[in-house]
Amino acid sequence: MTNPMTCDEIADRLADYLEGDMDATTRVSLETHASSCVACSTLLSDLRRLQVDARNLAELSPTRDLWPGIAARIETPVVELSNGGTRRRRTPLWIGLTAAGLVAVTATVTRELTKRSMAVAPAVQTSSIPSKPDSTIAQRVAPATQVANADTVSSFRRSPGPPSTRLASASKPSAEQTYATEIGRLRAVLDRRRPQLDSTTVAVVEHNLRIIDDAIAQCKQALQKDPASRFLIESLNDALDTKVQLLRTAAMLPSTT
Amino acid sequence: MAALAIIEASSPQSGSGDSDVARAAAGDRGAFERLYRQHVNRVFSLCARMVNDRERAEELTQDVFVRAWDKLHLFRGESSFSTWLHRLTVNVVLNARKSEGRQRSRFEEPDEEAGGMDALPGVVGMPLPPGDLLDLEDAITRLPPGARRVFVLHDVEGYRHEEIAGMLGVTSGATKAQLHRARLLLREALNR
Repeated sequence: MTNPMTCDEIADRLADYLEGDMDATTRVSLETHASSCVACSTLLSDLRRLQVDARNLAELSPTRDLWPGIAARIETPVVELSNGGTRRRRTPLWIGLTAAGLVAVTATVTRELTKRSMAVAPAVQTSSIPSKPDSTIAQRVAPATQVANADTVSSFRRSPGPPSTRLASASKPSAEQTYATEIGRLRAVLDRRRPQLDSTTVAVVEHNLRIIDDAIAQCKQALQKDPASRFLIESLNDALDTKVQLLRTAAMLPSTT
Repeated sequence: MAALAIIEASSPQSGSGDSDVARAAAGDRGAFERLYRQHVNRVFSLCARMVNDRERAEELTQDVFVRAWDKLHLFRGESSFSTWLHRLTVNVVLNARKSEGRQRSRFEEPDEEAGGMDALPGVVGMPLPPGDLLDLEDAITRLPPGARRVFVLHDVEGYRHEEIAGMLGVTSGATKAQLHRARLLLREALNR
């Protein structure tokens, strides 16, 4: 003979009962109470029905065919930076550099967009440019207009000529345009400083730039097949950020001469 | 005779499924596409119910199949391909949740896995307009995230509490509490 449970006790043990995680004596006691209590009996019935309904939920379907995006990614392994077929594994240093690049790009883009939206005189605030190339890390990741040494400053200046005018009149350049502009400027600085830099280091930089360019191309190719993929867009931005950072780091390498 | 007819009718499908797995593991993309067509709705259903965002669920579904392609050579056939893919789906969704949880920028969905389960605005437990009836699918979308995940994994997908606890990194006692809470909230919503 078992003592029937109260409603509160039922509520406490209901989950175990529904899971079948209950000894026989307690189960009988619970069922005895439920058989004479409308509220608990209804609750038990509702929850059982819910379990059945949950198991029988119909499958959902995507709103579009996802295969083209999958096929593109399968055919184009994203951001594969080594030639040995192994996946890129970022070292803490590399992650740090990328993060620094993100900060720098964000600062630069904000600065540029602000200036362009104001459509003011094209001269930049060159007074804040440090004169020494071996600046601190914090300075190194500062906006591009602040990082170059004296002989590279002119490359960063916005001349009042047609390109700047065109950009200033454009209401909102795309992220890709902004990246392209930034990469172009940094590339010009690197090219100009090339004779002053260690040739082995430059060769390594150029090799890594080719790898990043390859990753960018792969991302763009995959995006053509699946333009809505957030993953691909983020991968492309990631690769562009990495390229900007590498160029910026290279542009600030100390001279060997 | 009838039994033979059933075997003949069912064999080609399962047989082609198995061979598609083997072919896909060997690099046959056509075979892998057939596997995708066969399993996409189930994978998508799980993703959609877990993340409560159809667009995100479509992205995760793609991630699952890309990951499956990468990992297919590790599939040993100890379980069915469907079971293997299903578990892979859960891992992809939960890993995405972890990384997005760290960012908390795009999906500001408060997570109460380790904490309380008070109903949130727009979820079960909050007032709906009078006469606004929910079906179970709708009601699930309105559950708090942690309760929804446990409910989907347990009551919809059939995982055991110990498995879910391992996936979510919580105790099975916590998943039982989440599940019970989810059921009560759903009952309340459906009987409204």
